[in-house]
Amino acid sequence: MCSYDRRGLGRTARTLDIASALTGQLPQCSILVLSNLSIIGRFRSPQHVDFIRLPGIGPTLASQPADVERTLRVRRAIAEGTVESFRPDLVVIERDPAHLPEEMRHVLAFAREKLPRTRIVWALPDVVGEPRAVSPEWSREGVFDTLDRFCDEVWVYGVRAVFDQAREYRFPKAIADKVRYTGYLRAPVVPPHRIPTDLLRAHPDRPLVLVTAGGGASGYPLISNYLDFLEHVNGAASFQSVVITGPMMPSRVHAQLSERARRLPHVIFHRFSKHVLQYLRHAQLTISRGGYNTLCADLTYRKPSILVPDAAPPHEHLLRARVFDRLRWCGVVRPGELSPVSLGECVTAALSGRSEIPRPDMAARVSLDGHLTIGERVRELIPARRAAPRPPSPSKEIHQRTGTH
Amino acid sequence: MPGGTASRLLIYSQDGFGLGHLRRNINIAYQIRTWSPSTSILMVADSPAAPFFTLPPQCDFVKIPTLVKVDAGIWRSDRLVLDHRELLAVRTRLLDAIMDSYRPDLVLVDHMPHGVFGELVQPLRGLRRRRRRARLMLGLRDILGAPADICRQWRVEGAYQAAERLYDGVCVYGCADLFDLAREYEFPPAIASKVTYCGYVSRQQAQPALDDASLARLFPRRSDALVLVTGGGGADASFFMDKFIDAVRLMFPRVGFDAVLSTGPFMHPEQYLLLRRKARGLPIHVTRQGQDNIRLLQRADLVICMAGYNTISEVLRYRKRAIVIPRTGPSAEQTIRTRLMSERGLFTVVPARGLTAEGFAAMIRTRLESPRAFAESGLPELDGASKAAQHMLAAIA
Repeated sequence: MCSYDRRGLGRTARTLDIASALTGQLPQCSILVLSNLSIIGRFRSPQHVDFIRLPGIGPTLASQPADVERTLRVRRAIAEGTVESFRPDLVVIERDPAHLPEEMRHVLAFAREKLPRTRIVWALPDVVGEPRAVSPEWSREGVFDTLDRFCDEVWVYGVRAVFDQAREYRFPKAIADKVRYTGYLRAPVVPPHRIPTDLLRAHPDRPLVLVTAGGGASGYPLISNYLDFLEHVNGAASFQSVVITGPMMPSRVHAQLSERARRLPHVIFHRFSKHVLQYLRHAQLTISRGGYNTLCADLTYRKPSILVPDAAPPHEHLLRARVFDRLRWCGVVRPGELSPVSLGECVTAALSGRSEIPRPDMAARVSLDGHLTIGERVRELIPARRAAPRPPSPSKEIHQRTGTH
Repeated sequence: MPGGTASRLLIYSQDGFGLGHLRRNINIAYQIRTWSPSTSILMVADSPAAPFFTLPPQCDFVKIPTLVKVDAGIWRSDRLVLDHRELLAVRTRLLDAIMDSYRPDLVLVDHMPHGVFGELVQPLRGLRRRRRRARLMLGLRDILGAPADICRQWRVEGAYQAAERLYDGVCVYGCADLFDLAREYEFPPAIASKVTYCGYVSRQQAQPALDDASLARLFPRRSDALVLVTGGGGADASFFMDKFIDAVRLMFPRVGFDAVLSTGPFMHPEQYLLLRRKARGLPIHVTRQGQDNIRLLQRADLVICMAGYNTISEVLRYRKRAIVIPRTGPSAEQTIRTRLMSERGLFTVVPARGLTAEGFAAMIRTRLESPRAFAESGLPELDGASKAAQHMLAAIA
């Protein structure tokens, strides 16, 4: 599974969850995840899943490569080396197809040539971006051609009735036929008795608002406005908050926000937490930027949510917020309207129950069985001979023998 | 000082389960970047927690599938259900691809001249063939293990041959007067003549000591003294940490110090939770994050630790009083290190076996009250990062 994140960590987090679900369903299956995420080492790898971390490109990564060309060459060499030596039966790509499209084209062409029987799938979140931006970009960047020539299927981790990608993005017929809607991806189960210690020490009678900024690279406006709002009510808020900025927020920005949060009562503030779902489970309201994973968690635990999408093209968050808003699954504060006042009104209304905004129960009807559908697709795509257990090796432990030279 | 030309350094750091080699290599990387800001560095690691520590600018990393050392010469795939030949083929193919595409000017291989199962031999030979100007350096920590074991392993696995044929130089991150590695491991003259003793490596431009405000956040009511308890990666540290909590419980409520217990990322989650639960109500802060250990260590009045290379280097560098509990297996590395260093009076050594809460408590009290850490004259060379970086940059100058 190849997962490339740009500014965030959503794709890799999702890929690891899917990998975990797949190895649970297919016990003999080994999954190698290729990811460019610099902090992938902070995630716990599921059983039978290992990862290869590729060098990164771009200003948000921990270190800037001196030479983008060289980095791309190394990444391509590693991806091709993996294809040739690991010889996967199935390759699943999760990345923005219009970002550095040549990189995947080379690797997929290589995989097709070396492993003609290997199946290739491109996976996409429920929405990619504004149709008027996505469709022309995909034609221009040769995305349709790549999907057509190299991919056996295109998975959409969403529901057709919610957003019909093939129609909205005007997929050519050949690609539209390859599209499989898997449903949304149910968030992992969190036992209700697991409560983060800092929450345990907080006030159980106060309603809880969870504010998350995803990876955090561009989370400043949301968090800053939220803290402004709390500062404005001057500690008189009737609820408590858990604020998670995201590990990719620049350190200086994080430090500044953290300092402000520390002066406020009833605020738990983290940069990264392994317990986001535990907080979410105990929250009465969530506020996020509309990232796919957070939304899936909101749907899974039926949490009323307010989305504060950013305005960065191709407007994935904005479009998702609009689609969910239209279905009345959430409240939205639009990019131009974000202010401490607008955000505060939304929060107060939602918590008081006066609001007609979040009606999460409506969403209960949407499919969250993405992991099961993906499992079925995998079983169908990989011929039975390979799905059968490999012959057992004499022992899982291996003994170093005489040197090879 | 060498530098100026834009060169590329590749560092191979095989850790499997742990962080020690990675940390030492990152410390060296920082030093190289200090002297040669135009050098870019690619770390090739296999620790699942990599990079864990903040990397210097223009340094990035690749993580390859993980092999875990079970015992001397016995390895298993960490995660994948793969036959060992398959996993090794993947790793060798990746190493080859990386050498070929990155085209390093200098390769630093940490502690395994031939890599796991000789996985490095072919990629390094390939590099030699395709890029004649590339220089290859081998880095060895002060003590690898008991001489009899290491000599046998190196012979059987072909490590001597690799060290002799593939490398331009060997940096030993230790001191010959403490442990003469080349003699102890019976290096033939062809290898011994390439050896440079660099001294102990620690981070030269370490982050500043943890400030009062941060400490106050951990301990709202501060005591007079601070004790840092650390077990490196943490995979096998729970035993003495558990005993430490028992010891503090005995002293309670007149403990007289605050303690940070840094379990490391590899401690089993259940063990970690057990320790947290057990430490409740005591002035002990239990944390998994070890990134700030060096900042805490600078503030500590006493360090209680295992005898991993990096921790010991830092204890010596900051002249800390320490109680050291060496790991007894699978290799004799830590027991040899602590024996040689305690003979010089550098710290107190306690065998893990027979450690009781009462004895531990008494020892902590004694050590906290003892006035001086140790005699400067007993200290080994501690500027290993500088010497090693200098040596490596000179090789490609």
